[in-house]
Amino acid sequence: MIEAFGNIDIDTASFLLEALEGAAEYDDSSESWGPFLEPFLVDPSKALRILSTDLMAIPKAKANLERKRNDSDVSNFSEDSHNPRAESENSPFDCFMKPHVTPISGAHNRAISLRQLRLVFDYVRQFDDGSGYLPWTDWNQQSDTYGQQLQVKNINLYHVVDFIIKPATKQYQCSLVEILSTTKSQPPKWFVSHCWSHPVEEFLCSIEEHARVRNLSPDDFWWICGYANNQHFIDADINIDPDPRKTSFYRAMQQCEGVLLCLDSMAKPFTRIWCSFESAMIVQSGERRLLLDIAAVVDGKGVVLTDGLVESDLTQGPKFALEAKREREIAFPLELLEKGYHIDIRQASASHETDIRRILNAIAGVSAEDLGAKDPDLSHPAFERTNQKLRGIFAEAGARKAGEAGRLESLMQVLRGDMERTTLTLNLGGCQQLDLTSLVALSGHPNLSRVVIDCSYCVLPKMSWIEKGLTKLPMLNELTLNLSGCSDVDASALGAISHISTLQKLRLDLTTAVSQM
Amino acid sequence: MTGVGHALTGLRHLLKLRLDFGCCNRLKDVSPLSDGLASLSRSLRDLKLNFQYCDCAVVLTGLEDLLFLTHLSIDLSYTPLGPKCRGLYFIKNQVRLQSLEMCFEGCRDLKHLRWFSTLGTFQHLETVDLDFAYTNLRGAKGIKTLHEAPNIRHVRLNFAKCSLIQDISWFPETVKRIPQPEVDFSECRGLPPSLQRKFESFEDLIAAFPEDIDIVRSDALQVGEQVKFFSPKEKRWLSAEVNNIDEDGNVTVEVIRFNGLGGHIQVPEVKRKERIRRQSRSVTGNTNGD
Repeated sequence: MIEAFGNIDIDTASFLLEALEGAAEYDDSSESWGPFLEPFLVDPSKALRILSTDLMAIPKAKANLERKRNDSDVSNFSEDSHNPRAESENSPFDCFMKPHVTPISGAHNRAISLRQLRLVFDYVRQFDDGSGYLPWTDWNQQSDTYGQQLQVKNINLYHVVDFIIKPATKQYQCSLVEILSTTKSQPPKWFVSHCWSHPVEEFLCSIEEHARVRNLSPDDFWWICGYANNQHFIDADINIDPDPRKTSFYRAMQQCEGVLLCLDSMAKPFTRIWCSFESAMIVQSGERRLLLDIAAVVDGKGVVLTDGLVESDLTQGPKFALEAKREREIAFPLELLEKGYHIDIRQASASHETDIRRILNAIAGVSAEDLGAKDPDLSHPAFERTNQKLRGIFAEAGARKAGEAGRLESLMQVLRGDMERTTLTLNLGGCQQLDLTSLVALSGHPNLSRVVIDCSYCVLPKMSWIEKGLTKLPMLNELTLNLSGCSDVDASALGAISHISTLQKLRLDLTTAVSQM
Repeated sequence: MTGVGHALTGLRHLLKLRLDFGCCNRLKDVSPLSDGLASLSRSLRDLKLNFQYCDCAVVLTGLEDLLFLTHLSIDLSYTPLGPKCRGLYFIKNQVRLQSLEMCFEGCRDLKHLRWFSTLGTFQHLETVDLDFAYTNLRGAKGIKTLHEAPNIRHVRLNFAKCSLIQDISWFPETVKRIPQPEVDFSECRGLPPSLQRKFESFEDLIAAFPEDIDIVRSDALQVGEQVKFFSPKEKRWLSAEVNNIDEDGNVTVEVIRFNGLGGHIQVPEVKRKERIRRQSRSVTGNTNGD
């Protein structure tokens, strides 16, 4: 074994061996050795190479080991959640150290409240050594911090599952929510789609901002897979099936007002198969339209792009409501959302190769028993269809930001590509200078039957898009144009609507529009 | 407005139209809309127009050609109605209407309600919502026959702050057979203070006009018929059965009471001029288990 360490000095090699021995003592279950042993077992030389090139990681890991040795509870490292600061009487962290389970039937009923989420992160912070470092080393090969000592600022849900959730729930083999909850059900209000590599600190920041913007209380519930699903029997809770209605994700989503997509600085959810699968379910969520909010963190502050106006906007009155929305979303980076225009579910990644296979097969409609067995047929038209739908969802969600930035062209191309779309809603209200000429890209779209365009309180220099775009939609039977509060509307351009002979429902809102009519 | 009017001319399949011109303070003339609306005469079923706070007189012609409307909503609040507001007479011909909603709030020119005089003959009419708040109306003759519409279920009438109204003797008769009436006479200074309020249910009305509401005439009743009996004492509806109608038309009903042990007993009670009405699906919710 020592030989495998190559050029590493003997002290380091000994330390690594000791670390391995320590891991072996830590738990009898080979499943729980994962984070410690996996890199060595899978590719020992690679793991050591990373350690040897990151000179900082070794002394930190060494110090960590020594500290643990000095601690009398070292052998119970994870089982007893060893932090002395957390072990005072009536500690709020008792639920992690001396857990009591409240079984909740169905993962879809195991949403987590903001208060509970804060508790999880506060518990993580208890392990901070004072300089922002945590006593754990990242052995997740797919992590950017692989081989390094974890810090409060970069710990993510992969680590939280390994170092907090699994140890805390080990005794009862349950989900984390079941040890945090005191009620038999925590039905979700919002569904959260996110990437597990998103730092928990940033993630919490997004949820906090979402709660603030949507006026949700700390006791409202968000469904977050890592906390809702039983991490000891994950397959049973997830239940990937060609019929998405059978998954816990779908069931949870059905109870929600909407979906909150949490984007990290790299917009990784657009490249992750699970996030794509969840987003695909928004499309398939039946008659009821789910709201889609999108959160990002900019300079340590959460920003949420909301689907429509929120309560606090509306208190400002119709005109200033849009202004309030614009103000609160101004920092949202449009370029993050634009990455969603290129989403390709066939290229998406996951921690486990089998998940990719099963999800792709599920989307392609492969029968339940063959999901894990067959290699997905990447030429299946369902993938491109799903891609187009997903791109369309994100394009629609970012329309106002794109309109404001004068970047509607690529967005219209994306929407044009979504050939199965029957409904288009463009909320562009409050854009200072709105040029909708790129709407022409939609002309000839074969299935668009319902179009809602909200240009309220915009400055609309040109309105030729009605004639060149809307009148060229062969299936259009329902049109809503909100031009309320627009200055200098060219009302004569509205005459072109008379050419849409298929129209059955028309709503024109010119309330307070200042125009020569 | 010409553009909007023109937009409607080619829409031969249009079923539902909603136009909002609220607060368009530079709108000078809405007449160009008339031709456009007239062109929809055969197709249009649902029309909603909003001219709230427009400065110009809303004179709409061409609406009389709309013969198939089932839902109509027009908001004329705070607009000058013009000397005759002729266009609104088209409402008299809308025999297919199921719901009618009109708002005249703040229309100081509003003097009469003759446009609504035929509503009682509309066979399909179910919902009527008329708002006359802050107007100079003196009476409401035009809507007196409202209760004659056979399918009418919900009526909302708002006369709040109509300070020239002094007589509402027509009112109990007008709403007496409407299951869900909602009438507001708040701050109608010409009325006795006890009537300057909002009536939100049938029971509320009976309590305010106990002598004026003869809910079902006795000649329309038959012995043995199940009716609802409103007990002024208990201030609630009770199930009852007609067991006698004398020569003067006085009705005797037997109230069916729940004895608390799972069975029913009948308690004969002889009343003069009892407030009763027929059993119907619309009122069964008032039984409170009796």
